Amino acid sequence: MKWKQFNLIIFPLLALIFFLLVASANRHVFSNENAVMYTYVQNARQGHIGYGFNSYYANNISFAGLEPGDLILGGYPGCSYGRFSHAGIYIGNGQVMESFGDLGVNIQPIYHYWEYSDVCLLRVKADPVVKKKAVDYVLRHQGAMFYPLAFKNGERYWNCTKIMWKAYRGQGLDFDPGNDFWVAPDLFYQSDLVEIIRERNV
Amino acid sequence: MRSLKAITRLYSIHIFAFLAVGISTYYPPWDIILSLLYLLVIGSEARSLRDFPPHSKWMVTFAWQAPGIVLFLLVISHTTIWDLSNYAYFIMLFWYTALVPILSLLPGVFWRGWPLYYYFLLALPFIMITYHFILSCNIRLTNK
Repeated sequence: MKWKQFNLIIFPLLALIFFLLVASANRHVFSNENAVMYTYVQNARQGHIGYGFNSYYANNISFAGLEPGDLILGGYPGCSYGRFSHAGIYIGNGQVMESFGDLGVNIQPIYHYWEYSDVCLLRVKADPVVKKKAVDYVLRHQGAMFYPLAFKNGERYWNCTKIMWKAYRGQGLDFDPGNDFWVAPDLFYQSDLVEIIRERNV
Repeated sequence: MRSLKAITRLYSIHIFAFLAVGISTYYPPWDIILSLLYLLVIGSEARSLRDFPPHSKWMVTFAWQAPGIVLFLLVISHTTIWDLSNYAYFIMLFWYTALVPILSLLPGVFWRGWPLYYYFLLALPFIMITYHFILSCNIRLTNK
């Protein structure tokens, strides 16, 4: 085979091999009708693309009483992943650690969650020591790369939910018992491992 | 016609590398190996243009990187219409998936509010143009 043919064939072949490997190791995801990829496709068919219609919705939720390790979810109307499109973990002093496109894993003031039309504050049902360790884990990854479709394996790519999921999974709390490819923010909301502190929808 | 064929080959390689590298991120560090392979394949494609006239080389290189340049311009425009700048950055991350594993190896350092990988991603269209053009030049090392 000439190198010119090799150049054209190698990546389709590798894509096929890796797809078969991933698919065969995750047949349960393909047969789960609630899997994130199906949710995304179903919502996209209804015209819901990406994180929806972002604007400043001024939900004015109170952040009083938040403790380090608590989770914050935010969403805009028309989001394709579900009710919520974004997630962060409270690290104290009015700051939240989150992962976003151009900023990677970074620290933001918690007040930016006022911009969402849907917002929810969640308390993880765990010992403060566990929550402190989860916060420490997230802090260690500041500046790491954001990639929207970051699989759960590995520690070089992150999206907003993977970093929180991994921080707590290391402490024995798994927010995705279904073992999907990705963790949708709504999974945190639906989990038995949390209790809702407060939520708002404007 | 030869230029068009070269452009089509580059796009074909790029799109399938996007798929292969994207899926291989499930099995790190295979993504890094595939990313390096992508650079080798692009390099070998560039070498095949050595006998092209310079203006054809430029045309092939720019046509290949045109989506990256358009996305770069949208990102730096910081336009808020339809949140275009933000979406352009997301699309740029996808478009350069084949090189994302290499960017992920950069240290998590912030400069002027953005992490290092942000600047490198924005520079990728120009880095790849330079890489491709240099390798397509007919440079010969001779012993005197």
